[in-house]
Amino acid sequence: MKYTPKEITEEVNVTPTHPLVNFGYLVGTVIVSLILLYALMGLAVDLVVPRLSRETEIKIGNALLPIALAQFGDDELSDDTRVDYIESVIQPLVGDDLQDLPLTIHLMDTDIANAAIIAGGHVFVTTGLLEESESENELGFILGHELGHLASRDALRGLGRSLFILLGSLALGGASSGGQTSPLLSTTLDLQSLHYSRSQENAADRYGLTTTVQQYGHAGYALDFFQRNSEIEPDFLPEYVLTHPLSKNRIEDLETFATSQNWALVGPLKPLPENIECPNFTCPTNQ
Amino acid sequence: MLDLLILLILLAVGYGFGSYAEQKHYKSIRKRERATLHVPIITFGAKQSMPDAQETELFVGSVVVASDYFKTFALALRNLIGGRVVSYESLLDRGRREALLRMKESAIAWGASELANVRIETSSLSQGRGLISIEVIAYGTGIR
Amino acid sequence: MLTTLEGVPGKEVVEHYGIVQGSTVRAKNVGKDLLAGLKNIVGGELKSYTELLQEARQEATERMLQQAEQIGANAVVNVRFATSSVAQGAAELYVYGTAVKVM
Repeated sequence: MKYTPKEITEEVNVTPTHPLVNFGYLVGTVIVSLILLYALMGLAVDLVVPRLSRETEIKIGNALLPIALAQFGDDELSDDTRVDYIESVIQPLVGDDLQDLPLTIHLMDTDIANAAIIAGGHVFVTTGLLEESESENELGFILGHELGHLASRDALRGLGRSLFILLGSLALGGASSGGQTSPLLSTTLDLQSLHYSRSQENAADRYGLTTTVQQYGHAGYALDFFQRNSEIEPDFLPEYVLTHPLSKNRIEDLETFATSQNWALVGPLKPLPENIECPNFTCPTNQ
Repeated sequence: MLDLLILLILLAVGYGFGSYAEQKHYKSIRKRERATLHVPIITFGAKQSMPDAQETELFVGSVVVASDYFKTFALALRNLIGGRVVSYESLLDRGRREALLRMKESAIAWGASELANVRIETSSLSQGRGLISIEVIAYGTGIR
Repeated sequence: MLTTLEGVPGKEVVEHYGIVQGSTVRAKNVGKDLLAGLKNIVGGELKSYTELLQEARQEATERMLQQAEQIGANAVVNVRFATSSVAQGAAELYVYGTAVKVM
């Protein structure tokens, strides 16, 4: 047996693809499949959301509540009589479609004027909003608008893809076991980033105006909040860069809508109770 | 945004330095392989009659090679899709040839005319997802 | 011709050319991982993994044979296989042997 030295010149053990080409293929494939998955989830959301039962919706709402409270500053005024007042404003606005969903009012102590609603009928109103509101008509419209979101389940749709994680963890019983929200949920659900599409906003606006007109008999003063907003909103920015439609456009849209429904655009103002900016309607006397 | 920038920088650094080192390593491997070609290494010899020899000695060559950030990232992506991990093939190939060469070179320095019953082992020193490195060890009996 | 013996039975090794080797690194995909996770509950053979590794080992062997062919050998003797896990989710299939000419 003799040895013949022979050099192996072919590199058979290394695939001759250039690493960057291979990398490009990998990144491309992963991105394309993620986009497909995202689109599929979006379709699934539209299929699933209208079919969820009220009980499931309430369960989801309860699971989300701690996160939502935290995002509003976690400073809830639960023993305040103003909560009863808000309840008295919102209850008459509730239409037949929401009768089976009990509403819970959460008055949050923060200066930012905001109102929001999450699945399961949790309504958030900030003290900042109460201070800024000038009439009950205006407050009623804002609450009606939020009810519109609730009625069309926009909040659930907005949760969108995270909804499946939520449903999954509800099914596994992990979402609200012992009042503890799983850390997974709080990282996937950011309510701040939850904003609605323009058409969802417009639909909610119309819903809000309809209920307001039914309650107060006219649309007067309802749009004051938008009116004030439109004065401070920059009008040089194109609308598509903003998360909400421009207030100016919303007012226009709603006025056209009101006219087409033959609603009165003016009417008597229903004032807010006095001292609404102070806890329990009692302001310190030294003011 | 900043995270993405850091990722891109790490990838670029990993790719730049990694592929430069790889090319340099391959160049040196080929050169040394040619230089040591005259000494045969065979994987048999355990159950045959021993070749005439004055002395025998155990020789071991080993090397630990680490992956770069680019390769690791490519593997992470590949783990989603499945299939051939191109970026790691060259890593292992380099490690293996380097280990064989180190064994061979130490045998040649000792004066071996042949290396019999050579065995090669690979093991991973990776810890979870972070550091990925591979140890290759080659060992055989040198005959003089 | 591949054997795990020192030579080829019935034939004589007339010439040898040194070590030839073949290797490939394979990763499994997410879908298979999920299924394997489920399978881990009940145990049993992971068919999809068996097939994946078989296919990869086949490729490594072919690569080794390519090397042997290139240097003019007609057999590889004393073939050894090794599988090692390179990193999480990636396995290396490696095969090596001595390229020889038999008569």
